[in-house]
Amino acid sequence: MTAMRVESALVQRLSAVSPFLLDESVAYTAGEQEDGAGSLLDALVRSVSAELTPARVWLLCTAVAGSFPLADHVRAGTRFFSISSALEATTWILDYGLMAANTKAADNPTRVVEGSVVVDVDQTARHGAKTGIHRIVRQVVPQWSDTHEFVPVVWTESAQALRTLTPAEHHQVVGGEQDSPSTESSEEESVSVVPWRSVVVLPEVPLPDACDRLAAMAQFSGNRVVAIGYDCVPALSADMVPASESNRFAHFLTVVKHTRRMACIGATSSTEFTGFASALEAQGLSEPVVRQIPLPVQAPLDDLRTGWEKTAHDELPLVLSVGTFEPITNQASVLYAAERLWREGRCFELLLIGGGGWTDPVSETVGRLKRAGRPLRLVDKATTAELEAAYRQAKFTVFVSVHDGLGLPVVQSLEQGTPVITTNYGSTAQIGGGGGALLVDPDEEEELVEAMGRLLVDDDLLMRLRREIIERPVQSWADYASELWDALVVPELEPLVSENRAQR
Amino acid sequence: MIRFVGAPRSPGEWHAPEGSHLPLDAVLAKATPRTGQGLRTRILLLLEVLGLPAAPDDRELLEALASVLEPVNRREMWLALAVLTGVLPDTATVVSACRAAKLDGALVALAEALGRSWISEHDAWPEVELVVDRVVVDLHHTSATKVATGIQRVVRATASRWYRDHDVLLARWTEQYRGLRRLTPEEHRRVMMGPEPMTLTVESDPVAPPQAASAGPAPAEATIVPWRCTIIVPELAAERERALRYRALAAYSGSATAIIGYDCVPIMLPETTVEGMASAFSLHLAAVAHMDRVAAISDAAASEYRAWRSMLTGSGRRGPEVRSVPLTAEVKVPTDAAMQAARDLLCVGSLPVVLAVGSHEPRKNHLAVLHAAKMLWREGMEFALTFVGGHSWKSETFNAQVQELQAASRPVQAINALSDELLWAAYRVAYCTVYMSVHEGFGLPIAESLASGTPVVTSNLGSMLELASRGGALAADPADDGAIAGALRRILAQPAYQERLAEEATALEWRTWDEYAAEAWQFLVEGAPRR
Repeated sequence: MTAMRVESALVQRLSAVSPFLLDESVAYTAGEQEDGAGSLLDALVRSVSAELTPARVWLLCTAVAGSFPLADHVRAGTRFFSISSALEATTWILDYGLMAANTKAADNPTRVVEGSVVVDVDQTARHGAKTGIHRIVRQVVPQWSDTHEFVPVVWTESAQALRTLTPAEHHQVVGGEQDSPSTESSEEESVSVVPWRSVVVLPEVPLPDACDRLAAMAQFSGNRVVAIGYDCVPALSADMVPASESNRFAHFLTVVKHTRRMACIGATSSTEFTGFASALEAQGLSEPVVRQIPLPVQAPLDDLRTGWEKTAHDELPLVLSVGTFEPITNQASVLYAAERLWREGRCFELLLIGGGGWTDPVSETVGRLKRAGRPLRLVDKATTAELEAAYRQAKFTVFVSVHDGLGLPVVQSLEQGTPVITTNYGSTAQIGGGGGALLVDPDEEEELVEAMGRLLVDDDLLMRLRREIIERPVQSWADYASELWDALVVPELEPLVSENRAQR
Repeated sequence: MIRFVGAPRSPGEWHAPEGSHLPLDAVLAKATPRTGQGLRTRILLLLEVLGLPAAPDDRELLEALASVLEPVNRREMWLALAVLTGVLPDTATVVSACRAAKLDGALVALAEALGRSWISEHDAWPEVELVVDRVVVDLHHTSATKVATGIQRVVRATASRWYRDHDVLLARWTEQYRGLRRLTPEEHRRVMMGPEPMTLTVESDPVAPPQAASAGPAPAEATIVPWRCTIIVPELAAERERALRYRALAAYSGSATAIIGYDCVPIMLPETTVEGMASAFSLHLAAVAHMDRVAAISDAAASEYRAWRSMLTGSGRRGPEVRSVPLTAEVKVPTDAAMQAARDLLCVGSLPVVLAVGSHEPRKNHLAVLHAAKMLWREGMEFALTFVGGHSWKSETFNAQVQELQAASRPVQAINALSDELLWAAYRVAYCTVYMSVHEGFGLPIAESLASGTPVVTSNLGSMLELASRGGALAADPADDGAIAGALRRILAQPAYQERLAEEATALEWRTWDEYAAEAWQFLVEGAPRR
């Protein structure tokens, strides 16, 4: 970037924040100047010094560097401004800008959005991520698009600033599960978004670098940050996840402590974030409002005969278990229970869909069972259609994770009308408690052996569970999305909008 | 976990030709004299501790061993694995051995576990010492160092008294965290250096991210296998292997397990700890989740552990009982020579001395103290400021600012370490101390300052407010530099107010370390029912 472009980008960013940092009369005069960034910056520094708040320092730092500041920067800037002359303060902010400049995105035009709603869909849009979390984002955000106004955003490559979505990224979020159009589009076409006195919604767990800047934004900028809470597995079950995940998650907890509201997806999540929030008062922070809004379980297909009953008589009944092969999903105990039942002479096929996780506790057992000729099938990648077909074909499914906030395989099984054996606590117990599930202690594998054994032979029980599934109360994504908006956004947006109006 | 790597030294002993494991009777039949003797001795040890008669021959010996695991249960499996392999097993090892035992019989499962173990890998039989029904205290770090961080001061003060007053076995972990072992005489001396260690090195955070166990075989050390014991961990056990083995030990060894709980900073305030600490500490907590008791060092620390414990119910865990057993402070009256040395070190003319004790890490909030001091100096207030504490992560900005102020002739200095005696003298020389940490489990420098009769300006949060509320202190919001300056201004500008606070401080009564150690013992040991 040439010096001239740097300066014109800087002038653009400074002009963009001027209306929010300068009195109208001053803003007008500064805009008239033609000597580049100098006089405008001088006016901004004087104004911020005269009415010094961390929020105004945050906005000035953001404008000068083209990136959101970290908490340490806001503190340092506020301290420095409080005891410095305008000239010293200008020197400081220019030094800061040189140190923190986001050279890649700083060229894009900057838009400050005030009194608005900004939704961070970074990983869903930019990486096309397809875990449970991103499936939820793809359900919720399109629903919101139909009914509310908001600005969807992603992080720049360097995770220092927010920007609008490219068309391809937009398609990733609202375009359903089909592949995105191949048109390559880059960051350069997008607009940098600076939320100001707005509600910032985090429906994903952001990447660690973004979290550090979000934490500072939530703490100092005056924006109100709200989030969906999924679980605290990496902090609470660190023996079952890679160390890197626990470390990453710690960055998100730093954001959580400065949020205003958390909407938790179920019993596990709500217990965990409520507990975390209860420790915040002793840190001098106000607790976020933690509410539980359980994920919907949609009604199953009416035609139950599409399922396992269509299985030919000479085929083995199918038992399905979906989940990655890692300690937390406890697939080793599913294999153990299956082996026990096979050895007892029970006839069934076990299908595991999931594949290797960060460490593989089951491949040795899988190899041994296959060599012994057991009817065991592994599928490591399945399309949505294949997955649904497998759920429908299964006589029942098993999901006995030891710690899971989501219980996605339980939801999916019920949505295909197939009974499920699942964990007897937390979210899975909560979902299963609505009907169609047998609950077992995942640490007592004999309970699993017994439950699987029963469902293989007890067709009355199986039919009862299938009826229970049909009788479950119908829940929809539209209801969930609207409840979520009402719980997270509305109570924060309304006071902001009226405050902003009063300030004008 | 120690995994089987490469070809075994003596494949004939452990493996069938097609590569699968032999059952234990086949192993014993084919064993070299060395392996056979090792195995037999251990099986006898196991039978003895379970109160079973010794068996005259191999067949009966193995039958007796199999009967121990009939029906298969994790507790006896933990014991059998620990005794036979000389390694305290982790949870995954116990659980998968139980599965194998239920499918193919205990002798097959044990042979398989042995075949994967350190023993078959190195053909070594480290000694095993079964310890039954005793109190074992884990002093892994404290026995290895002369350094005295906050935690190690507490550990030495308690462990030395517990050793004096009760029958306790002092232990630490072996080189690669395979199991516990007794202390060497040198290690024992380091722990007993007494309630007050020789030098204070306020070195970094109480907890540095632990190092992973180094690879490669280490010399064989006798492993302690605790059975139906009470195990106290007064220091932070956050190394991966140590934590994973503690998790299994807490769940399956029939022992009561308890820790002294200092704080939950790495998960509750991860932004104030070094990257990597969160995972290590979370791993430690995953073990504590299966333990029985946490003696928290303040009411605030207890609340923090309870908050964490309440989070566990979402994943079906109950967590330990948490009780507040507040720490105390004991300072000695320094000699005249020490007082003179402290005056020489701290005093600048006749200026009042403000003392700030604590490592230069972000959580201690030294930048806010520096800023408040700058504000006051600019107003024309006169005082000298001294920081005592070790360098830590992210201390560069602090160091730079101190140098900048010194260059501007402000009376400020940072001292890395002081002996205990000099520190006690420094507390007395100071006009007041300032301790504006963002968060503490206890706040030892506050207690020590007050016990020295010197007023403290400290944070109005958590354990610091708890200490300040007893008198002799002025509490302010650590997030508000203006409030910190205001509190310092008040105490500096009003000598009468300082005197009143000093009188309050002097009048405070502190429990002795004897009393703290006794109260902690009461809860950690005697309050613990046998399971």
